[in-house]
Amino acid sequence: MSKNTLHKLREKLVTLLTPERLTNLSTVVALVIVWYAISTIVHPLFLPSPAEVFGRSYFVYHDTLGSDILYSLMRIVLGLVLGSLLGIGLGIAMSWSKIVEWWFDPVVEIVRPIPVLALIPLFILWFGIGELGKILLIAFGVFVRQVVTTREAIKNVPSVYLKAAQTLGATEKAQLFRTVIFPSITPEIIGGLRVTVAAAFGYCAAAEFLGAQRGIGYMIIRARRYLYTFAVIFGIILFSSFSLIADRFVRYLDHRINIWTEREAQQ
Amino acid sequence: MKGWKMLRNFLTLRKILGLFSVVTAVLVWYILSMVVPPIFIPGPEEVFKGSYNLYKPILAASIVSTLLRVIVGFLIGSILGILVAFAMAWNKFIQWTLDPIIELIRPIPVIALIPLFILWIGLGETPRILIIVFASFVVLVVSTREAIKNVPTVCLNAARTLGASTKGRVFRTIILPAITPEIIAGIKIAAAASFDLAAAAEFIGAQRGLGYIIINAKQFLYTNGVIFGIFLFSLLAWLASLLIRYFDRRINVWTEREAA
Repeated sequence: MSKNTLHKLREKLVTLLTPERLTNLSTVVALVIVWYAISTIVHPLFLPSPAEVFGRSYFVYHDTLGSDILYSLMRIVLGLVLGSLLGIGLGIAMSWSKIVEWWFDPVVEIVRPIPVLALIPLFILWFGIGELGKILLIAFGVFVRQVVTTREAIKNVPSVYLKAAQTLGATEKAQLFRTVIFPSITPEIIGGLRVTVAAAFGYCAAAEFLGAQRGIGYMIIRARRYLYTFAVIFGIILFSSFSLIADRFVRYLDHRINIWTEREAQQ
Repeated sequence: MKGWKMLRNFLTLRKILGLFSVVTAVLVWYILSMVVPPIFIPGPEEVFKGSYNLYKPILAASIVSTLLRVIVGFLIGSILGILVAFAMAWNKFIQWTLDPIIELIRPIPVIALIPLFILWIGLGETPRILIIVFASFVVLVVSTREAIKNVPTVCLNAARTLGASTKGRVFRTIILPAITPEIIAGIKIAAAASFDLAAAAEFIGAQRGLGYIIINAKQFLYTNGVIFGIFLFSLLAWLASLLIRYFDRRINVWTEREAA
């Protein structure tokens, strides 16, 4: 390799391996080493070695793994999309029309404190252990959160902006919404979306624990019955990894969409 | 005459619509329960009267059992979380080591840990309380850390200019008051999560508690009991949120807040 390409490679490495990423990487490596160490001392029922977790899980579950992951992810995505659309929609509708707000306010306030996970047995009674119940459960949880977040976001639009827009000639509500409110609330809504996405993974896991025939959670529960600790840990790692990827994705969307927002340098 | 005027001032359109909405919902419930088989939608009376009579002997014990788990788990987790966040802000070395670990733990859906904890600790109280401790801890560490980071440096520098020389002084006078609103926000989230997790944990193999009532009812296809249990859970969660909001207002009287 010529000196030039070597130089370019070095530069790329330096920009890629930020100190933050290096610390994260080194912690992961350290944790894996600690994991290995502990697993040799402790009974494999408590902490199987990383090799056993990945190797044996794949060996035992490889035929169902693909469909399990697919089903879990599908439920989460569908639930998120359904719940977010309805939730954001209702939030906007409640801010648009006072009558809608006055009608739905008590309903929202009553539904808010319900622990979503407590609803799982009810949904199983109603919908059985098929797909619909789980998707509806996730959608419901997401819906309630999104309505609240959207309403808060719209309330927090500085009235200065609205008054300025009106002074500059925006007379109809639609105009105000389109030009001021929608752009204003996007950062908050996407921020709330991150939390909601993480919660959606939780709802999916719980729903799959209590009544499913497919999915990562189902695999975990089955494994627990056979005392297959390695598979339980494997399932948890799967859930966490996808949750992490989803979170990074939302953060990426956040950056792309909100490129115009005045934000202090990110953490 | 005067009473009529007072009534008119009280009954704004907003309140009337709100009341109507609730009444309509209950009416819809009644009508549906007569049309749909009671296994799906039992009527309001059956749910409340029937379940109350059925569960009366164990009701108080169940509520206490669930509440105890939630409160103990939540308190331990939150206090630990806040303290750890303080430690991280105080000492750079602690922050440097704990930060990546916390970032690693964040994406884990805490519920997914329940089977693991049960495998490790067995089917007692401990795994359930531990889950709630874990979740509250993570929520509060993250919120407190963010809160501390978001303290405007202007205030810190001003304090130092005015003579707050030791770290302790700055901490006590500036940081603590500044982060209280955000900590309370974190507490609200942790409280809601604690109730959620208590329900899920009780579903997976408990012998007592509201969750046990729910899952037991489900096994016998007693929808009344399921709805009754959910209702009680929501009531508890709502009361908890009222309590937190009360403290929120008392503690944060000085914050610059628009009328809530």
